[in-house]
Amino acid sequence: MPGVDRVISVALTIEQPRTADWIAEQAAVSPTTARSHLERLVDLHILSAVEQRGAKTYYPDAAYQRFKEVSQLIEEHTRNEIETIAVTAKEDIEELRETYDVESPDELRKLATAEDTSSTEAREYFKKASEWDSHLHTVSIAEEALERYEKFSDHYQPSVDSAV
Amino acid sequence: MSLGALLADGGSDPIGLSGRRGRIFEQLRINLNHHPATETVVVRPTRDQKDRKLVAQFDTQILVDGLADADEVRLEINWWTHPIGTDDQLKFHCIESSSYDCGWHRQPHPEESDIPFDHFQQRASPESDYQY
Repeated sequence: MPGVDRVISVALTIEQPRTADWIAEQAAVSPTTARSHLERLVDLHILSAVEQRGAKTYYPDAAYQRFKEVSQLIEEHTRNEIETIAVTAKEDIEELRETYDVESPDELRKLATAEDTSSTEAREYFKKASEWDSHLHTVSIAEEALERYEKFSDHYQPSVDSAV
Repeated sequence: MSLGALLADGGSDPIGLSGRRGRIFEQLRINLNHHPATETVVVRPTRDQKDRKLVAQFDTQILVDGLADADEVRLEINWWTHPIGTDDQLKFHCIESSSYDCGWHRQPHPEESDIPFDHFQQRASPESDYQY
């Protein structure tokens, strides 16, 4: 895989802002190469840059990522399908809440580290907490997609005239 | 919100809010599609239907240059993200149509304290026990 793809791969999946040197090491490219790719991605608003303790750090641009996810959902699904996606995710969250008798993914993670929890249970709780996070994210993206559906779908549909 | 999710400027964590797990799946899908042996990459529901996983099908002639007996080989990938301070868990598990399967997992192992968080496991068939 080319270096630029590895830099993108690392930069878009980090869990907190990271320096160009850190990203360079993970992506197996030189710091100079990483910095040049990262600056280009900042210019394109795919990444954001922030100064932390005197060092420049990079992280995925939240507005861009969200816009991309909402747009993708609208392009790939009908309004009814998006409604189903949102409802299913909400049902899955409700089931997790009832099954584990907790109110949030973080509460479930706390349960995983409790003293009387076995390692089997801990593994399950960590998995389910991560799934819960995903469902919450799906609900929020799907709801925004529904709000913007009409506007975007008009934009993506070819006009009747162009079909001639 | 946990303390770890706060940024130096006091704002909230922009990364957690924008769905890191989705981005990891997307990047894995793109990376897998770059490999010449990859035939298809799809997202499938997990066994309990409550979550999803990535499944890649490989052309065995290209993947191992005809060295594997199996006609079909697939790689199942899952990645569970957690907030800062809790390690992500993941697995890359390869399943051959000959019944052999093996995987690299980063997960706590049920009731086996001598198996590390990062471990390799394999078995000759679905009926056999895993070897570590």
